[in-house]
Amino acid sequence: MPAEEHAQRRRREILASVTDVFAKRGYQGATIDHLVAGGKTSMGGFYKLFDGKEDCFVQAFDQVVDEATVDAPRPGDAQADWGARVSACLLALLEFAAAKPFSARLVLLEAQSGGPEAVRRYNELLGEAAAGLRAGRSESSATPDLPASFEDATVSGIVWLMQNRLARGTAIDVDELHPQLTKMVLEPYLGRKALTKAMRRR
Amino acid sequence: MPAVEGGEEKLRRLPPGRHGLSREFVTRNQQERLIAGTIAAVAERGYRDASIGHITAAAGVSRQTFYDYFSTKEECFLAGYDLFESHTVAALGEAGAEGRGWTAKVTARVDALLEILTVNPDLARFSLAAPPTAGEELLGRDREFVERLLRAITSEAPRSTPRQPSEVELEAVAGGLASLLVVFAEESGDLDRGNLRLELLELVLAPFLGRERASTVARNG
Repeated sequence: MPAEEHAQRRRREILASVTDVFAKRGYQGATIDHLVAGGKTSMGGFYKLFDGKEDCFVQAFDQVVDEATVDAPRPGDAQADWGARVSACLLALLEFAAAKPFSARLVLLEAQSGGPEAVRRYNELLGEAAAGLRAGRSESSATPDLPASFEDATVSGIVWLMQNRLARGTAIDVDELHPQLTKMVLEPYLGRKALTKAMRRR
Repeated sequence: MPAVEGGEEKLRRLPPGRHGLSREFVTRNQQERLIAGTIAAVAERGYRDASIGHITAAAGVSRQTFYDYFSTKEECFLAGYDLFESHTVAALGEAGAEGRGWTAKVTARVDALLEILTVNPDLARFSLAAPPTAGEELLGRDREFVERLLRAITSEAPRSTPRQPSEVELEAVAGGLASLLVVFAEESGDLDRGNLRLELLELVLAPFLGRERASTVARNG
């Protein structure tokens, strides 16, 4: 294996390990010592990769987001309509959080206390999700008169629900949440009848 | 003990308005002075950066007094939260008693809540904007608070509403409510409060009335 590739793989492994440390101890509670030990690296190895704790957190955050969104449908995907894409994104999000609660915890709970850069990325992530939903306003046949903050409130609601479960340490029940959230998110755009039809088709 | 100047000024800003806090709320005793000091310090600096020194300075009491009542900043913060929550939930209950019909009650409660947050901007920042950045130290107290607020706002819903929201749906509405209240609390200069009020009303009514009806009721009362 070329040295460059090896270093990249090693970096990803360390980021995966420190993600668990941040999730278990909280951003504030995690020390460099904890991160070095958890990442099975040395102090020198740690500082070669990261400027410090905050930088380490932000890199771990980015890795989790990349991992969580790699299979999510994109706006450009031709095969699915907007409603189907939103449903698939919700499913991907819930399944990821159910399978990797530590990673979800890092992004959804710890980022807000992880320093200005982490807060910026967290807000940006929520903003992107809201923008993805907002696209539904032009796709719907009966263009609804939704309040300006509708998408922000919707995204915050879904995040809130997941935060509640992650903070309590209870499992994210994908089968319970996915149908309810999909209906809740799509109905204001598509209307009740069109939504029932679309859900039956799927 | 005489209050330090800055502290007294902060305390004086807490009470006004029909749904503001009574004068006794902030000055009845030193414990409540300390709580008011915590609210002022956390609102100004955020939870993490507000030190016990900042709290005692804002309250105009000695550090020793702080430790007579509380052993940690967290404890004092949570005591303040309990007090603010019971005050707010009581004020919402009172406001709802005046309204005729459920949607009028909901509207009156939302207006009472927004009035509390408007006349006490420190409390808004303390309870809504500061906790999420504090990490899990505060045990999700803000989440609990907002869910209780939502229950207080929507209580007494008749069984005849067009829809009966599921628990999951109401949980998500609480999250939406929290985000709108944070926007409200952050007081950005060009904030359109009248519009935010309508959006908030529509948000809490929609799970019971459906989107269109909620929008009509929010706009026309």
